[in-house]
Amino acid sequence: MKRTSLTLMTVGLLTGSLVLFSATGCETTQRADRDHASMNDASGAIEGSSVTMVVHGMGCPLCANNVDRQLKALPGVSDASIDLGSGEVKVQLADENRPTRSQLARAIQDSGFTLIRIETP
Amino acid sequence: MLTMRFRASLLSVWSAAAVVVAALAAPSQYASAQEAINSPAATQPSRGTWVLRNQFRYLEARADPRSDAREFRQVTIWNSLAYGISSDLSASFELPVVHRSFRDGKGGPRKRDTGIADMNATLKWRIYQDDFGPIDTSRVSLLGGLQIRSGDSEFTSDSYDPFVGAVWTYVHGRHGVNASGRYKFNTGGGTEFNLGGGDGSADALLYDASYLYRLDPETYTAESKGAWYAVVEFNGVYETNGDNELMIAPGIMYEARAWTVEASFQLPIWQELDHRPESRFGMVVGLRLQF
Repeated sequence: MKRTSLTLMTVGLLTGSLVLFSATGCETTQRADRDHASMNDASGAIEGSSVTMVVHGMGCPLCANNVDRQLKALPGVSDASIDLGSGEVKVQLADENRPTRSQLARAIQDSGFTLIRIETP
Repeated sequence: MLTMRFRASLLSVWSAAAVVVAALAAPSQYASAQEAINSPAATQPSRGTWVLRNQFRYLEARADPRSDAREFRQVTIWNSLAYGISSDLSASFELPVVHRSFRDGKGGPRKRDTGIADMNATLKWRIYQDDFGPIDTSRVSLLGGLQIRSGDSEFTSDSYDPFVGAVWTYVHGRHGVNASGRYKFNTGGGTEFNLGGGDGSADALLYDASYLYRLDPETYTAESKGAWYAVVEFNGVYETNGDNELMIAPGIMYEARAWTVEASFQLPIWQELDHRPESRFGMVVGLRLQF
C-alpha cells in the first residue's frame, strides 16, 4: 500500500511535469530568431538619449536586478529602469560612448532573458 | 500503526492533489519561476554575478534504530556562494556548519558536537529556456557536482560522492512551480546518524517539488521593488537501503531586487526508515544577497 502510493505519486508528478513541459513547446529556436532579429543593423551606436527594450522571462525582482547589473556595466549607460509587468526596460544613455544595439542585446542575453525588440525614439 | 495509516492516507491525498494540480496547470499554462526555500530551481545568477545564501536550519529527530541515541536536535548554518559563469552556466559551493545534540540512552546529559559537514561543489547548466511572456518562463537545467568530505569525523561521510540531476522551473503570472530530482552515488561510508537523509552509506535520490504563489503585488509595475510569496514544498529523500522520507514545507518569502528573506516549516508526511532517525520537524530561516 505504502509503496503503491509512492509509485503513484512519482508517476503522477513525472506525468504532470511532462505534460506541462510539452505544452510549452520547444521554442529555443524561436528565442534564437528573436535575438538574431534584434541584432540586425547592430553595428552603429544608438542615437538619442534613451532606448526602450522589451524583454521576456523576468519572473521575479531578482531577475530585474540581473538585467539592471548587465546594462549598467555597459559604457554609455547612465541608468536603467525596469517594469516587470510589461517587460519594458528603459535605458538612459550618456552623451558619449553610447552602446550599440548588439551590445544591448548581448547584455540581455548575458542576464539570462529573451530580448523581443529594441525601440528607439 | 494508526499514525502510519494516517500518513499513508495523507500521502494519497497529496498524490492526487499533485496530479490534479499538474493536469490543471498544463492547459492553462499556470506555473512559477521563483526559487523556493528547500528545493532547487532552474534559475541562476547572470554572467559575472554572485549570490550569497545563508540559511539557519533547525531539525529535531527521534531515536536512532541502530543505536541508543535519541532526541536529536541539530542546527545547521548552511552557507552557499553561487557565481554566473555565463548566461546558461553557473557554479556554486556549499559549506554547512553543524551543531548537534542528542541523548545516548535514557536519561543522562545531552551529548553535543559542533563541526563542518561535507561540502558540495555544483555546476548548473540550463539546457532549455522558453520565455513566453514578460514574466513567464519555462526552464530546464542539468545539475552535476561532487560532495566533498570535510574530514570532521563527527559529521563527514568520509567519501567523495558525485551527484547528477535535473530541475524544471515554470513561471506564469503569479504562479510558479519547480520540480527536481538528484541522484547521489555514494562511493564510501556514511555520516554517523544521517539526520535528514542523503548522507548515509547508501546511494540517495533526492526528489523535490514546490509551488510558489505571489501574494503581493497582484500586478507588477515600474514602481514594484519587491514581492511576497507563499510557498509550499515537498522534499523527499529515498535511499537505496529502502529508507524513504517525504516532508511538506509551507513557507513565506520576500524577494527584493537584490536580496531575499525566507522562512519555512518542515513536517514529515511519509516515513519508512530503518537505518536513520525519523525527523520530527524542521525550521528554516534564510537570507540571499545578489551582488
